[in-house]
Amino acid sequence: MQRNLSVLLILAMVASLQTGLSAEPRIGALTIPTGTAPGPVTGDVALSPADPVWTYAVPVEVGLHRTPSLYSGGLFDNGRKPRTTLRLLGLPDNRIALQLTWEDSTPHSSESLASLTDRGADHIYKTRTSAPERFPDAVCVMVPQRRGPHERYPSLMMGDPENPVDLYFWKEGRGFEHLTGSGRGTVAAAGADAPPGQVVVSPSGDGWQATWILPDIAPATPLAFAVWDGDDQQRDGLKYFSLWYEVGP
Amino acid sequence: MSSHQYAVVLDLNKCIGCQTCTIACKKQWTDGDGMGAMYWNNVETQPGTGYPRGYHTMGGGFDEQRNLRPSSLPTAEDYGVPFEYDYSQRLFGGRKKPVMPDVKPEYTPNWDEDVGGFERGNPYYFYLPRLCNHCTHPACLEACPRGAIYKRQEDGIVLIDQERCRGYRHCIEACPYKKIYFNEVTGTSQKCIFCYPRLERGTVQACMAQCPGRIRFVGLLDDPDSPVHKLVRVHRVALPLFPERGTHPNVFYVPPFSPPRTGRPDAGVLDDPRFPLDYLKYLFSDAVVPVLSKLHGELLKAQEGGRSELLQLLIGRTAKDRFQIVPEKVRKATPGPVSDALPDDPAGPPLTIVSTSTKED
Ligand code: SF4
Ligand code: SF4
Repeated sequence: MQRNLSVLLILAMVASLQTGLSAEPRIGALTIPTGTAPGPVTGDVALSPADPVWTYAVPVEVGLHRTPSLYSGGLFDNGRKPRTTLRLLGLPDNRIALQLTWEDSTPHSSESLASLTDRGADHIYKTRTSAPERFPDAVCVMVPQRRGPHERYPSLMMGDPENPVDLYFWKEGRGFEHLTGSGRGTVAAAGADAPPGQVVVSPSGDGWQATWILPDIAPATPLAFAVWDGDDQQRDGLKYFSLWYEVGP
Repeated sequence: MSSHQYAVVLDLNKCIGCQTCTIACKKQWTDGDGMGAMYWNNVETQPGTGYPRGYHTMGGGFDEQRNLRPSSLPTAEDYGVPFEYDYSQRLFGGRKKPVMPDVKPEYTPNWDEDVGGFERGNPYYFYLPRLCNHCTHPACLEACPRGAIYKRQEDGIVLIDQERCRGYRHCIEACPYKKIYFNEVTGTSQKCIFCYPRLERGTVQACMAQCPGRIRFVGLLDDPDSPVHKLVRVHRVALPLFPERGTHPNVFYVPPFSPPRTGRPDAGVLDDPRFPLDYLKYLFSDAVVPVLSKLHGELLKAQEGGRSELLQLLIGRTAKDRFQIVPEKVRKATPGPVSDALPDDPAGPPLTIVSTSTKED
């Protein structure tokens, strides 16, 4: 109960500080320093997490919060919050490379998804659903479509009608999707003309590591993150989420 | 509000458990990738575990305050892990050993086929065909945060928009009948579409058309000419399954009422029932008692040489007697509530469709 209350308090705080529902301007901006490598960095280099170029990016701890269970009823907050680190690297042409590393004790929860291969013509069964009760791990970075500094941040719930967002989403077993949103329940595939992004995700130590390359990121653009632990039946709004961070100098 | 509501009546006294309906549906709609465990129509032996295994004790539906009741999700094992036999080894590979399944079978649809129950020296079982109930208050629709599930205005059919669905599976949890299935290949939830493309052409559903037991009746619940209206609203002998789950199903069952126990041919079905009354009440609520009495009375009337309009209706001699598919009526539908139930209707409260969610976002 107390946990639920604290989650609600966090949500109330988020609403007043960060969604623009309050009349106050945003306060308490969280910034991520942008690392600069000595020479120009190509996208391919930035997408390989082990490349020494990443030593120029300063790791920042990102605070994640757990959403309350809104309609599922059966799921509750177990109090765990994955430790999450973020690094940011400036790239030419207004692009940035972002690297999020987060704990997940079972980063291979949906291995069965990878085994969804056609069993061949000798078998009666076609590609089959092997784990209807399992949910994939997932990660997303949310960026307002209007890049640059913001007086008020978009709603953390997938943006709002005045402040639509780009969602650079990755889901285990299904890969990368570029989505857009303008409020809860509005998430849809981005149009073909949307600025393209890239992400590479791989298991790392005791969790996952995702590296994105995001286009058109002006200084002070807000970014927010979410991760889903499939083993905890997280999906949809049931997830760990961060407040807004700003791309710092 | 929906203008009309298609509904189904299944006469459990006539089902022979042949699974023709199951296969008719499977061949028509669910033999694609990711659909192996999908039986939009299944027939299970009762008493039994059902399909998916134990669905009726998993949860879902609404509580007394009309909140969604929590539920677990069925696992792959609850649907039964599919197995195959390698006949080629036995027939052509020179192997002498018996052909065995490649996976140890632990569960399958209708796993407890004909096991049934046993009480006071009498074995008993009956078959229960199940499909999505196209509920008046669909818990699945209520649970979907994306508005991907909608109830059609013109005929009350409940559908999942495959473009909007993102595979969250809240609907599977919410459905107390577990009649939505997850397709891992498409990443979406899928369910019975009530053969709407057939209905729109004036053709009855595959499961209804193929049933050799002629147990299936279909038509508009609100149309006095339809057989389902007569059975549910006029004769009032057809009841929804687990009505207390609060979704107001539109699939109704004529409960099984024969034969009496061995050695008591003269006893009434309520005096010495072969199917324990408590079990039938568990499935269909206390309303099953007056229905059984009524059916028994009609049977006696016919046995004494009288004519029972109800039994004539239940025989369902021709397709015309059993099916009322009226695309022209549905197309011309004008919006408005459908409410012709009696206040103490065993089938539940008056038919008003509150949620006709469309793709608003
Ligand atoms: S039976 Fe289940 S899936 Fe079908 S409409 Fe009712 S709640 Fe939805
Ligand atoms: S086809 Fe008819 S008789 Fe055969 S199992 Fe299905 S409902 Fe019963």
